[in-house]
Amino acid sequence: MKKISAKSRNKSRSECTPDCLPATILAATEEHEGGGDAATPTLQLGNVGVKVEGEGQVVGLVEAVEEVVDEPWEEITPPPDLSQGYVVDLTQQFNRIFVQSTFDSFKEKHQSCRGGSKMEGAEGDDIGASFLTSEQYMVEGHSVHSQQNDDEEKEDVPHVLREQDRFLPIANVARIMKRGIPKTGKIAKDARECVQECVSEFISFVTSEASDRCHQEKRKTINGEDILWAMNALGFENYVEPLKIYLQKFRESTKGEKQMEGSVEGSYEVDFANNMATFTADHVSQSEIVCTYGPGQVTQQFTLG
Amino acid sequence: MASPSKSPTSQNPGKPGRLSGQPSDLLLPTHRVKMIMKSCPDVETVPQETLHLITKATELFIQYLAKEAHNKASDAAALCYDDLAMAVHTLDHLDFLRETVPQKITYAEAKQLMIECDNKFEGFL
Repeated sequence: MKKISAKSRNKSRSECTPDCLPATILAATEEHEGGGDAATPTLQLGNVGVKVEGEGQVVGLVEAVEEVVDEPWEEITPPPDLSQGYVVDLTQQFNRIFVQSTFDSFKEKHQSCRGGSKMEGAEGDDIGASFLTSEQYMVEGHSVHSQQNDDEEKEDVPHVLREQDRFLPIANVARIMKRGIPKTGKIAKDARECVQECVSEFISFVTSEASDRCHQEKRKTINGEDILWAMNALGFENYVEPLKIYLQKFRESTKGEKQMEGSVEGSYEVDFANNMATFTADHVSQSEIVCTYGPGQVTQQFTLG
Repeated sequence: MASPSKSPTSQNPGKPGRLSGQPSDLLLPTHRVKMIMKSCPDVETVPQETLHLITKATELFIQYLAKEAHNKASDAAALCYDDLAMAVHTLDHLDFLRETVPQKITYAEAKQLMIECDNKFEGFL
């Protein structure tokens, strides 16, 4: 028996609406006759025993019309073997498996009609046995509702991240938050979670701005200057100078990594009200760098041992 | 003093919770920051230097946000969501967060908004 070609399949499904049916559907009656040729143009919910034709032959039987969809059928692999005359839901829109459950009821209902249909080897329980042991098609597609979950599916493309990958660890975030408030202060759980989201939003915000600038200048690598420019453009001018200093120290530390004991470490305090930033490094080998930046002036103090 | 660079953990044995390979001056995991950056469209290469810079900027931002929210807090002892929402909606340069941190409204207010919305669109039906 020929399999339904994708074209006819798509055609039949895409033209399916509750009130119309293409000529591929042969019969829509409760008592179907094998090989019936009257084209009844209506497929309705609740119809039983509707034969589906493709390329001039009956290729399947819709045991019960539970839903009529407008979506075109999609190719599924492996393509279903329709020679047994069982029902397969060929769409991937529904997470349903018609096959097994409908076949049994089909057997019971249409015993008398079996002779006239084009089901080969249709003999009582043999079908059931051969059916069940043969290749079964778990037509498992996305349910309608899973479309809403697409955003959370893990994909190779990094545009879609899992929930836990989209945010920074809440413990780290909370620890940093505590630096901004008096020591005795507490932070509510919803506030912590909210800041977690805000932080990811901030990173995306700055990154996309810096990335746009990069593209404008036909560069592929986002460098430090792009970030600083983005911060300035987005209203975070206060951060620019302290971060410049940090960048400078980072570059020095990576250059002198083999001479110094690891990267620069220190405490960083930013007083936004007075536009002051103080950076103190106290683990650099035998040198102490105290860097103070004030509004309108750069006051840098370097103490080298 | 020429000495081979040591890993942060051996360098600072007294500081617990430090991931090996994590730069010792940062409190946030750079690999996670990088993932978030890469999820933005059209972002290609992100060198270490940029990653560090953004991570540092993020740390400063968290601190800043907490401080501003604390300033707006009605109860100075505990920081809650409403304080954050107030800060976000008051400060101009935090307007990119206004959708992330919407101000809470009561059910009655929400219902009223929905009615107003329906009324607005009635004319289009």
